[in-house]
Amino acid sequence: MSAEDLDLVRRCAAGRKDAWDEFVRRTRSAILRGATAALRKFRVTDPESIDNVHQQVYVELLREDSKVLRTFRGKCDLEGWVCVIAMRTAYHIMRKKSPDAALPQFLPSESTPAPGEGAERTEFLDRLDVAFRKMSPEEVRLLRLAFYEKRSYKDIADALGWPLNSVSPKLIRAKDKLKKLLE
Amino acid sequence: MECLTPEQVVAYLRTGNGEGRAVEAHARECPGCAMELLLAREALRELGAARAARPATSRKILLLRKQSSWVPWTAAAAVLFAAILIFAITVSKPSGTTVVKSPPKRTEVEPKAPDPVPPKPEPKLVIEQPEPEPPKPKPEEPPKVVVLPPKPEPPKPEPRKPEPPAPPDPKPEPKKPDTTPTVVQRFAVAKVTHQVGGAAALVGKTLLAGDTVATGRGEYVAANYDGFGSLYFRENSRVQLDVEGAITLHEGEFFGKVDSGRRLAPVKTPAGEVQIQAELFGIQTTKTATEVSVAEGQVAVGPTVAKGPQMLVLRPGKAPELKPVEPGFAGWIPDKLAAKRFGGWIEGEAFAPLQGFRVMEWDESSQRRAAVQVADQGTAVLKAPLPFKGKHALWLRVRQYVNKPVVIGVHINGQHIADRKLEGEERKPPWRWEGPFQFTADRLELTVVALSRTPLQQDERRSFPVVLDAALVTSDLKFVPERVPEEARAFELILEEPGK
Repeated sequence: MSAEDLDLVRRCAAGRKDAWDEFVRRTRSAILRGATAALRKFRVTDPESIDNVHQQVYVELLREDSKVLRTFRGKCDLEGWVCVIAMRTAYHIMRKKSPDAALPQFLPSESTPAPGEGAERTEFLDRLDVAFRKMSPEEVRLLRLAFYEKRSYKDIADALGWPLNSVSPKLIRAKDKLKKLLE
Repeated sequence: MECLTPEQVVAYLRTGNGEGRAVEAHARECPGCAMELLLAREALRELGAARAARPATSRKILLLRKQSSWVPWTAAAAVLFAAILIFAITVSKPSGTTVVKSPPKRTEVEPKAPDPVPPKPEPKLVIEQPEPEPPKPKPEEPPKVVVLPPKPEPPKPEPRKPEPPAPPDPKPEPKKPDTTPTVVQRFAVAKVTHQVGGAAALVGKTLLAGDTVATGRGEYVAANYDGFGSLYFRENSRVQLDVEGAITLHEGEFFGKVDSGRRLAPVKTPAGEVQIQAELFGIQTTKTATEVSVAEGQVAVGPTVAKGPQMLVLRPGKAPELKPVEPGFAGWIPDKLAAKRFGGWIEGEAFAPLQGFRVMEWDESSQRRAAVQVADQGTAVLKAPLPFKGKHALWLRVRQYVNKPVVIGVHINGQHIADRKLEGEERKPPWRWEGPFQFTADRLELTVVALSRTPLQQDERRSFPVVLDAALVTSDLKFVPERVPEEARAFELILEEPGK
């Protein structure tokens, strides 16, 4: 499965038109799923926004001589890969669009294993989920801004309405707390 | 290890490749990647669900392509065979009989049913139906009838339409997620665990999202709010419960005990929304004001934050006010944790023997009056609101260490209720209940006065004539607390069904 995926991606990166057509056909649904899942967190469900992400994913994949496309090594299935890329793209588009908007709740309503997820994985992911839930929403927001969105301390201070010099100690504390919860 | 790439994330979630440990170790150190794993898990779950719900188109296509390269001759033979077969069938049937008959029947049916909206574009609808996704079809009941009549021609060109223009036509896809939120479902959000008073038996009843708990006069209800904790509703209250911790207080009062780590959505009240970040809080609303009391943690209305122990008072058209929390305000709740943090009724250990009675030494509501009493006369003061207004009976649990008669005076809400003479007993006297002292109110402010003049020596606690360690309030006027075990918690508020 992955060898075929890898071959398809390589042909796409080489600029083969037929390969690209097949790539688009195969990945369209997965991209839409990833985009839908991410946009739903921002309470956005209109087809236009989803389509916008869908298009943007292809732009991201082909940017700088297919830089992102070339990172695919065939270690996972193609659909899953583009789904996660779509999820990231949707998140970044929404955050760029309205950086001051309230941050969405990122944890799913319930922690359910993904299809094909092994028991060991499930155990670890459930622990992650529980750990985040045990933290205060403020701490989770802080971690997300700092580590997931990789924002500067100044941005974080502005976003959370804190003094700049309180970001660092709070971040260290929140990170330590998460670590302890995962022990 | 650098931050996880999408490929590593998917590989970790989908398969057990060798990097599993490394990914987990990295996620422990990097909260961003930990979040990414959880988010990706959710997205992949959705993707998996979509795959399961749909024929695997892409995989099918690959499979077909493979086969065709393998067995072209077999495929050609099959096509030839099919052509011969079709030809044979066509020849063997002289003229359209049953096939012809059945369509006319249906065409007759169709005009007869003009009730449904003018659905002339049926052929198109028909085409959409066989699609894997169930997009628009609204509650049209007879799709099967509609499908066949128009023409026996197979509507082939149409269904294939969405397939060829491969790239950007996500038309059917976004529709599916759209339809999901439109499904109206009412989730179970809470379960009634305790009830006093009220005509209908509610204990064990499941409350669905959007349900309103309405307590009548003399009714008190406790419920377990799924995933959030416990809620206690006082009499004459109306509170609406929804999913995701959304609560609307229309009138009355309730007390919330939120599980550690959980957070309710802002509580809606007539005076505005209140953000609550506390494990224990009480909220009461009247026509003129809304009061939110918090022991620890904080509650906020806009920029005004009340940090426990404090009370936030909201009045329409006025800025929120901060006040000290009223001790014992949550005493109507038979919840030990709430009582401990808010005052009211607490366990015996926290009571100090003072002036012949054990009193809540930290209870500011008593204003330490007991402590300033003259040495030969003691007063015990307790304050607690009750769940509802009505007739109540008060019982006091006492013990005498000195074998001599003692007289106590019982005052409730400033009114003298009774003087009671307690006969002394020899040796180890057991705890016993004295009462009932009846009163009508929705709160209890109890003052017990030792009327006997028994001079005490300093630090001579054993010579106290009477020790009072528990008070029991019940709305069952016939209730006699004989069977209450000795180890019963001191000053525990015990509520019983009101007498009929």
